[in-house]
Amino acid sequence: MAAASSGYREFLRRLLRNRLAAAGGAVILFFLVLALFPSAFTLHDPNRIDVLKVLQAPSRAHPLGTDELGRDVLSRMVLGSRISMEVGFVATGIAMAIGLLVGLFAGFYGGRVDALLMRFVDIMLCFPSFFLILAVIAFVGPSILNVMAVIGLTHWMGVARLVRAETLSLKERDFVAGAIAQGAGTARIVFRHILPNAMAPVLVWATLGVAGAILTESALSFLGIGVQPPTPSWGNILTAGKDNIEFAWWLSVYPGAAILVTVLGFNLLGEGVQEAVDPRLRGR
Amino acid sequence: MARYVVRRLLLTLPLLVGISLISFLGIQLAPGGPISVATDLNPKATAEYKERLKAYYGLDQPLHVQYGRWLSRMARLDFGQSFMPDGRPVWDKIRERLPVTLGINVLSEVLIFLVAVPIGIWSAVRRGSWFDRISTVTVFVGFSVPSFWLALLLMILFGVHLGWLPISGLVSLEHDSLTFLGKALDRARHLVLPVFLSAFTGLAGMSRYMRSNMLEVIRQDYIATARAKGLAERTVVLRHAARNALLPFITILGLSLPGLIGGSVIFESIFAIPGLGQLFYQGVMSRDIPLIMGELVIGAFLTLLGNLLADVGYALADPRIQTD
Repeated sequence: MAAASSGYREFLRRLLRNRLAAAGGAVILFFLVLALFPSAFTLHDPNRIDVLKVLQAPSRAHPLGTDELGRDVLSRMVLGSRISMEVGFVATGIAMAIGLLVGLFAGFYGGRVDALLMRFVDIMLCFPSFFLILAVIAFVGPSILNVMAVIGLTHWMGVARLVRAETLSLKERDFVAGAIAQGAGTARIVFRHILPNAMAPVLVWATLGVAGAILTESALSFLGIGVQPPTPSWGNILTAGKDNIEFAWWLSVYPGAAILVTVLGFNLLGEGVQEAVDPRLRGR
Repeated sequence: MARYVVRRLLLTLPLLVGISLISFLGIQLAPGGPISVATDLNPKATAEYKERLKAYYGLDQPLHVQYGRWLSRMARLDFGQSFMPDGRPVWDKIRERLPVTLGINVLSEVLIFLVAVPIGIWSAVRRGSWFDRISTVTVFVGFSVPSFWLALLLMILFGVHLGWLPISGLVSLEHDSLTFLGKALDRARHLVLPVFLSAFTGLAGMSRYMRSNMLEVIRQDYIATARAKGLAERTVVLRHAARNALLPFITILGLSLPGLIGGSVIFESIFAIPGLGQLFYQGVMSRDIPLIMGELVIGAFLTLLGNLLADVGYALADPRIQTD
């Protein structure tokens, strides 16, 4: 165990020394705090409609202006950060769980199971993923839960391939043979010996995956088939921005900037994790 | 070569079967079955009418018979009739919009190629330089920008403030009265923003990919040989390194097609372009199941075709690939 924790410390040290990755981590931390304690950062009730304050430009009372119903944009964006984070983490969690199981199963058992599962992965990859997401949403209807589930269910294929490849090579290694010789059961071998050693690339994938999920959610909400008003999300505030494009630039500029900064944070952190896990990649 | 193409075609057969199976299951899983969508909103639909509709669509047959029918209809590109008021065959609707979407995507792939390749080569050759650093940062930002947001910003800048470019549709209202040259210009002006935006995300990824390919190739022995025999650096980079680094690029360009087609939903609804993406979006909003399934299948066909072209292109371009 001592070896494992010092490896972890070494990993963190390398990660934090990468300035861009550390900046990405700081951005994520900032938005996580917003997401966890939104009421500490909002000046107004995010859902309070005020017909006298429709589409006001940024001012001292409303630093990021008001929307088409007179609601405070800053407060709605703070609450929107919670939606983005929730969708990002839950959707990635779902995709990761499915991908891990499929990949471990295919890699460990090999043969027909492997061939069948990997053909299924190939078939799923044939459908343009955004089409697939929209098609499923058309069936199940738009809601936060459905958006999370659908993004998760359509993005597990990459991680499944990754884990399968790792499992294929790990199961031939001596420490796995040793565990088998000691009489360890299949579940123990897979989850105690193979999975922890396959986690590094999965971690990288997951960090980048959260970025992708947040982008997808915002696009869906922007199109009106993701998070539904009055629940605020960065994407559906941008819809109002598009409808009022000629006279309310603040509705377009700020929510998009929030998406950009958050997604950039996850991408930089992911790249940093990759380099910290595999220093050979530095500067590539 | 012909044998290679045939073998490659045979490999796509199981995928085609899989696509048909998944889309068939999709139709079956539609809440309340495929009929309810057509009849739920129609108060005049009696039980007897529903039964007749079921028999008409063959829904009273066992599943495997229904699947067989679906398969044979799919082979004839018959996806049934749209649930929209016009009730036209789905394939007709798709066919008239396919050229618009494919055209825009081909243009943006050309743009990606023309911009990403030089950037990738230059970054790799001048690794660690200012140019390399700036382009690396730009790539990361490019990966992270929500493209629909960028679209809004450019619409505000070029459409609303500067008034240089139109922000909606493919042609102006007075398009028909223009001369031939005027028509071409009008169309080009409408295409600038959509093509640039649909290329943008791909640009970031592709230039990064080209850069790492170049870095890989430059380390090879044959590059050292080319330098050792005294060739000009320009010749070494462009003729020896870049041509080899370009090979995998062909594959990736083909693989990027589904992403571009998926992305067309966003651009076409923002810019009101009458293409596949906008049609799909309308289908989703009105829960037009035959249309959604038809487009999903066509999207998958196009993806397979993209992969196939990429593989064959690669085999043609790289003599080291054994095709027999």
